[in-house]
Amino acid sequence: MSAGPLPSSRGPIGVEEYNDAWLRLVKSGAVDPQTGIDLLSFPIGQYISRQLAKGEDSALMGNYPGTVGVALSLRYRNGEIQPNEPCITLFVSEEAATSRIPSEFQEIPTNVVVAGTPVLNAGGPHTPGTPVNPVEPGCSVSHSRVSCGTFGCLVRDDDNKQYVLSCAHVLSDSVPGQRGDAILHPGTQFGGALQIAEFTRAIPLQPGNCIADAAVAEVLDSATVTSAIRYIGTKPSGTRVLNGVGLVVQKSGDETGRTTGVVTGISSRVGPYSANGVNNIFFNNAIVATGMSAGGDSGSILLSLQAEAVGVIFGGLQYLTASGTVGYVCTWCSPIDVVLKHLGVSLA
Amino acid sequence: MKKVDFDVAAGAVEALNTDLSVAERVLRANEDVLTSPGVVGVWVGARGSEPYIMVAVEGDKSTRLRRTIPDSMGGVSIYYVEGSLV
Repeated sequence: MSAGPLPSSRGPIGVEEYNDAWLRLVKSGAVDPQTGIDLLSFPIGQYISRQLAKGEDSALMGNYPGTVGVALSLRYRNGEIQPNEPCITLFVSEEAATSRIPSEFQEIPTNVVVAGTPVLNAGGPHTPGTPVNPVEPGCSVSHSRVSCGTFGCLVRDDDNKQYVLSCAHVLSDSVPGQRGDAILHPGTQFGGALQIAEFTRAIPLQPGNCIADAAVAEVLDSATVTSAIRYIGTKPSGTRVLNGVGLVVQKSGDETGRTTGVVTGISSRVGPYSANGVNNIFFNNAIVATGMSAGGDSGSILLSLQAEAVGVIFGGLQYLTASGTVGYVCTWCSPIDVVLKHLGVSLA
Repeated sequence: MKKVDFDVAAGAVEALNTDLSVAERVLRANEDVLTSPGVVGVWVGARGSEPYIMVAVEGDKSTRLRRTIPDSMGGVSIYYVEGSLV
């Protein structure tokens, strides 16, 4: 380690205080959301990484009961995350567990964050099919004879009518779809208690090449819906047309909540799909992202971290892991510009 | 075609400004081969500055397709992943 010991950290940090500091750091512009901060570019970051890789992470968790996580991270000091100060951050389940943890470990500064009990994302606060009022994009919707999908976002036409945007295979069960059919929240799999919209039109699904899997349903009462996407906190800020890969993206879907990923491909052709009574459907010019969705997320809007709409998620590629669980190789999306143009709508 | 042996997401992040047009032209010119039965997806991506073509193959079809789809076309590498459509 080339640098001498840094001033000690003092006291445990509350998780909300810690998360707020991270948000302030990101909003300050000190972090490029595309690349993040390379902690291994710091000599001390490399040193910590080597120590943790050698098993010091397990040793720390063993030596200090109540520690539920250890990480190479950035130091929280004076109420802010310091973008140039790597440290070891220990996450503990409760404040009582912090008392024996030293402020330095092998001359490396430590932070202690009171984070509670760890849970897997699937068991976290997000529960698929939960009814919400008013209904937010990111929540469950479906046609009355379709099991479930996701309300992507609100769009509007030239007459200022509001529509729910989602997939054709979520908002209809036939081609071209029956105008006026009920669109329910949550989806029928979850009881379909409330009709929020009427199916209006879809981009046609047909055997062979298709442009996109998307449809709109006119909102019955604007007071029953909001434009801000659940877990994102804002409506789409605009659209972004992709000509390359590497964009970091996010989505809010009813099955898996908010997830992030990376665009890994464009100009994709995928199929054969069967939907709405049509077989051998192939989608052209789809966007490919890392696996960040599952069944029930269809219709979710793929967004950049700046909330620019990039696409509408319609499917993916799954595999069975050695342990028998399902993993997702990739997620497929219809380009948002194609969807909006062919449905004759714009973002609300 | 070669099985993917690198981190696709990391390769894509490093490829933010990579021009994919050469790979797109190769894909369009060879779409008949690249969409043989058993292929459920094909697209262009990049690993850093190297554009490539990715083929998604139904789980048990890769052995046969590896005999018909070459490792590269027009100087563009072709990789594959396995899985099933959802």
